[in-house]
Amino acid sequence: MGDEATRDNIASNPEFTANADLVERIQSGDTGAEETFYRSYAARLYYLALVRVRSTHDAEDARSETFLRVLSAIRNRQLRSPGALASFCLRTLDYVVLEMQRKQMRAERLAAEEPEPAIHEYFLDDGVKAAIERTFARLKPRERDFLRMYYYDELPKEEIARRTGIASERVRLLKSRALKSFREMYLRLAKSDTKTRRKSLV
Amino acid sequence: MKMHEQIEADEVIERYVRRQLGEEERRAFEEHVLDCSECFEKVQEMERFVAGIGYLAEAGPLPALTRRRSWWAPVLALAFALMLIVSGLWIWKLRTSVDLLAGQQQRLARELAQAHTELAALAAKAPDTPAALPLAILDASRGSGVGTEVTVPSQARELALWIQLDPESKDGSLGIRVTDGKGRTVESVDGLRKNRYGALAVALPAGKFPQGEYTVLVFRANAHAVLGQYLVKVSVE
Repeated sequence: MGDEATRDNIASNPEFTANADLVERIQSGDTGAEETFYRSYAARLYYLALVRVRSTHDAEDARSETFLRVLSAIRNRQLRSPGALASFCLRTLDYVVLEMQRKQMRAERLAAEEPEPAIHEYFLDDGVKAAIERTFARLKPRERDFLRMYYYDELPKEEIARRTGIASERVRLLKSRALKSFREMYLRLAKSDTKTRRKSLV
Repeated sequence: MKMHEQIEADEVIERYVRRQLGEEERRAFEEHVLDCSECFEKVQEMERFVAGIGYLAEAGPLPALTRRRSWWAPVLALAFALMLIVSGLWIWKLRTSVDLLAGQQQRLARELAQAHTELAALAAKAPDTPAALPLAILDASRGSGVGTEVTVPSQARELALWIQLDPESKDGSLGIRVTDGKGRTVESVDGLRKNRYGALAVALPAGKFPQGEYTVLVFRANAHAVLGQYLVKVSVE
């Protein structure tokens, strides 16, 4: 995705005008609009904060601080382009995270509190873990090996080709087939496992 | 190309989750994700998928690939193992057969020695022919071309033939015919049976065997099938 093309596409996004309307409503004191703003952005800002700080506790703090600052800026009419709400949120989040890192909040907390759970715990509950494990157990060994090498070991395609004994240009095909097999097997098991509600994957 | 098609074609979501986007591209995509619930959900799915692989890799069910095994490696190993087993069985069976044959050979040797002793004792007991019963022992192991030499004392009245046959075979009534060097029949005896040592023991008149070479034929009485042919060289003293 080229950067210029991406920005052009964002500008034509219908969400752009919807955000301008939301900003105007918040500025006019509509508390319902603030609630809508929070519901729309809470999960996404939390995720983007988590990507940056790699800690669920710090991500929560960063999100709260970002919301406070963005709402304050909107109310005080400091937002230059009301339509670019997403861009403003992201910049604010980056500032907040930067400040957190400068204050070394994470290092201090790590010294004082329980160790943080691994970040993948945020994405995986026990049901999803079991479902993924069952799905992988039914994949072909070649597909299992590939998915580990590609997504976990993050080996370059040439190395994967060497280890699996295939031509480099066939790695893409192998990836496509492995993902397809995983998706189909995961859905098949989900259908047979009616007691467990699963989050979708891939 | 529309935004989502471009994201799909460029595998932007996967590259974002794997932190492979450049700074500008990453920022543009994050701005888009903040306003796009569809892409946000796809990002979450991809994160769960990659986290799931990480969980399995670290927990053990998804071990690292060490070396790709070819299909023929286990087949070769199995074939080699089978070959070893078959060879072992064959060697074991061969050794058992050899041991059995050796045992039989030892048993026959013991029986033969015992027979010699008994014959010698019988000869010694004879009152009018003290030590005068010459004995020719004929058996297949001597070979037809060599012959058995026997010395017949001038005072001997009989010449004893001990013809060793296969102790296991059931030959029924047997006969022998002795011919001289010119093919003339010197003596023939029918209605013989193997003794408990599996041999034919025959006493022939010594006077019929002047010095010379003789051929002894052993045959079945009813079928006239020759069971053996032996050469005897007689010398008289």
